Amino acid sequence: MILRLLVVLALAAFAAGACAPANAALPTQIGIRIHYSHFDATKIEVPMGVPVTFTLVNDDPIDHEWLIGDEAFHARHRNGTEAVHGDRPNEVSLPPFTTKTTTLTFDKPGVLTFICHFPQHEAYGMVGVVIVRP
Amino acid sequence: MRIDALDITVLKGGGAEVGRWATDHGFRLPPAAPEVLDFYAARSPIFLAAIFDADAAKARGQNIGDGTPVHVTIPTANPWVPLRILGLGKSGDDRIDADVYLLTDQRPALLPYPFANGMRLDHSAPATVSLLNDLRSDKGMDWIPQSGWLTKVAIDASAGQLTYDLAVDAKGTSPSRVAAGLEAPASPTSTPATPNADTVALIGIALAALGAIVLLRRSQTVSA
Repeated sequence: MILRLLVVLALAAFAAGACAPANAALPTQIGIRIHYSHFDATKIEVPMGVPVTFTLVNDDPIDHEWLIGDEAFHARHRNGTEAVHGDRPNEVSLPPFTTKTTTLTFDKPGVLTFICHFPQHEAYGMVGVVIVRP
Repeated sequence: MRIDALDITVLKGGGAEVGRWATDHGFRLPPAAPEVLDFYAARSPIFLAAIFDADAAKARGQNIGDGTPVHVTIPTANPWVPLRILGLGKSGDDRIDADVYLLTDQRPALLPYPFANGMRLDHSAPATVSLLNDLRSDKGMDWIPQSGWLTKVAIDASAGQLTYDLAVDAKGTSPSRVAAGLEAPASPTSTPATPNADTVALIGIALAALGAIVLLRRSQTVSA
């Protein structure tokens, strides 16, 4: 009986390992620091289907924002008039010297871009990508 | 302090503090501002912020492009001219044109030298008596000496080129590489307890860019 139970547990463990998602090793806690109007991480890989928490630190004495989405999303925000964001987890306003966290679950693989859309900030280099791995 | 349509405030602090003050007072600082403010704060904690009042300018009959000359008296042994900040808010290819006139007791030594990278020496000669008399006749300019050396430096650069300031040694020997922005200061800025008032330099600054922050350094402590 004991032997049978051990075998069952071993098989279960093997099965779990065989079915573990390839993205299990990817981080679900991400820190991004803004300094001199640049993101310190501009290429981030995250797992699909699990909550990923971003901690965003604005070290600058000026306002920034962290907006993540596809090209259509950014096209809207480049010409947008919202001075402050806060209701959506993929749109975060960052006043001077503030830290904010936001949690997102990415439901499909692909590449998303995060940008600060204040005037001139994107051209200055405030751009990064998040690669969502299945 | 109010000068025409400009509200001018002298500030003392680090780059972060000055940037925060500017943000809190309605300045929309460009993305390069945090780094540029730290660059200057490492050399001096004294800043001068100018806020342009568009309504006041309109009431005065000023048009877009009309500058307001501002005279700032700074006790210092050697003048120092912030140039890098002229590129703040501009893209790397934008052009910057500016003229810097220096009146010193004798021929000064300047840095960067030799002139290149968007900076040109247009004039270097003893100041004429007629020029000195003309300058002395203006309000508040009776300090103009009987003789001096006139230097004109022209800035014709792209914003990307303008990564330096103009350091001056009025005695013609060795201008500061730190003041020219060619070297970082060895330690955080410290200001002498008493100003060196051997020489009084007067710098006339034309605020050509509306809403710009003009940074000036002085060798004595001033609080906002």
